[in-house]
Amino acid sequence: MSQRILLQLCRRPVTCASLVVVALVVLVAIFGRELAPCDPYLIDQSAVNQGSSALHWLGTDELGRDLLSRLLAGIRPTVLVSLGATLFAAVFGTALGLAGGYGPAPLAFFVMRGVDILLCFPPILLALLAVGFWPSGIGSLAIVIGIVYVPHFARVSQSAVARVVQQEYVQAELAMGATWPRVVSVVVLPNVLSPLVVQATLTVAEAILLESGLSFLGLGIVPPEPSWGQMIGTAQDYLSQHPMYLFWPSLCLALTVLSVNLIGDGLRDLLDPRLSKS
Amino acid sequence: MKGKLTSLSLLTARKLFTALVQLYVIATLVFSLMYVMPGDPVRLLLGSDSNPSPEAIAAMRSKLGLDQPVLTQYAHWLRDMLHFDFGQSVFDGYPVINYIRSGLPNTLELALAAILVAIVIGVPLGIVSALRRGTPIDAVSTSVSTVGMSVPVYILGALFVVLFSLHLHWLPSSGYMDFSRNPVEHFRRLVLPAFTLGFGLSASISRMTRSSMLDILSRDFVRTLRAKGMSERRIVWRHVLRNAAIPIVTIIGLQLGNLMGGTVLVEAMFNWPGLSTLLVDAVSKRNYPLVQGGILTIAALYILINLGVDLLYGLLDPRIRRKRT
Repeated sequence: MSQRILLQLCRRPVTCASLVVVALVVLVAIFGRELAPCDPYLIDQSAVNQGSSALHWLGTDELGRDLLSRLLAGIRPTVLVSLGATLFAAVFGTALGLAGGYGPAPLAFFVMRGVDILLCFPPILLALLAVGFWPSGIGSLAIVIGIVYVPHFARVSQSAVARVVQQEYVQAELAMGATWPRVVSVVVLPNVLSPLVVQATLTVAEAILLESGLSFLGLGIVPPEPSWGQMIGTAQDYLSQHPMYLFWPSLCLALTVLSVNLIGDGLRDLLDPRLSKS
Repeated sequence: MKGKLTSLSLLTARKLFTALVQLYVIATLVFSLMYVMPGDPVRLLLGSDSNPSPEAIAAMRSKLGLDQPVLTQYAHWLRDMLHFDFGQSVFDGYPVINYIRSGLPNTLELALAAILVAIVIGVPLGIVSALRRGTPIDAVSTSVSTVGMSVPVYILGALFVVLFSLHLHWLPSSGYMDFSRNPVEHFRRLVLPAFTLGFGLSASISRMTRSSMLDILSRDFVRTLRAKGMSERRIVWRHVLRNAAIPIVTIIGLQLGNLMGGTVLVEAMFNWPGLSTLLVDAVSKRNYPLVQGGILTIAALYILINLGVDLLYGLLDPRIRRKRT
């Protein structure tokens, strides 16, 4: 099933290219530190804000650290945070959505109103709030960003569950005496999976943007640990002297987010033909 | 007419009630933050002093009102919120409301300017690509909006700064000028941040305009109008646009709401002294009263704007009024 979907995704050139980009990003996230030509933390005051050279292919930053090495090393925290956040949001959001779509009426009411209220907070604000009160670190950053997207998953899964529950095969299952854990795990969940997969892809892209936004503000990944958002934030101060310092992390970030979004679009077209009409 | 009025006011009352409940819950959430978050806020605030004296801790506790029972604190908090009293900034004792009063107009100005830019770019782009569906114009504008949604504002902003400020020297790269001191300079400094924000927003507006227009264009009544021999221009301007307007207005309203917190990155990069700049500063310094006041103000604005959009929606589309009453 998943192989078939992958094959179909590869048939469209744009989606295929995006899959290649994302695969590269994941590979670099795993092996980036080993691939890096220099030590990403090594400060060299004699080589501050340099352009590209034989030693530093993409130049150096304001402390003389090798940009290429920092770019490669900076992928891992971003990928970890965005995947962790998506996983967190998917698990808790889907659980809430199941409660909202299949649970007893009072529970469903409170869950969905709670979700509505969480949705009142603009995402970056919610993240900012939590970051302000929580100790920093990759794990807590992932949880904070995950919390932001829990209501989105809850909404998507609730509406899917509410639709599936009305189908005759669910009623049939119930009539045959199936218990609710069985109905949920064997009948409902597999049938609401496709919108959730699409939502997860789009959430990864948004989480990457949110993490880099927080790091840009200096509230995400803490230096000297490199991250793209933080590099972009620092590079703004050296825009006139060293524009390429800004260019490379920006290009990597935009390309990654664009690719993930395009894969999400492709998946949506494949899995949910009704949505792709527009 | 009378029925229309009653159903409208019923809708208004219901929406208003929901908004009040939301506000109350958010106020409670913001209050409880001090307690549910790990770490003692007093210790954090006295962080520069590695081993604060018990007197200092007690003084800070009473300054923040933390020495009273939780329920008393909660009651005081709600009472103060009703009077727009958000307490005092921890570091200088200046009332939080004054900070908010100075930052809020700047954020609102930036948000409105950005929305204006987004509408001016997004709506015509969406209309053109819907009317020329499948042509290169459509392909270009659709891909521009996909890219626009993927590029973070701070990258877009940096591109604008490099182009318009460092290369062409048309506009200042960042900063703020008081309107009363120099109105021309004030607007010159607004242009880049507003375009940076608005350009990103225009992507989803043009997408929504396009799909909404396409939806209406495929309706039976448009075919009937065409069969009657009405000119295409008249069909589009008089009939299609009016019917397509509701989702477009909705998304514009939602975006305006989102901008209440969403200006944060652009404010930071252009040194725009708005509410979000204050908030980021307060968060990094752990100035809790300012954080709470700022968050509450932004959330309240967000709820109010969404309420306005909901009501407008009911006003624009008679079917919604009927359905809900």
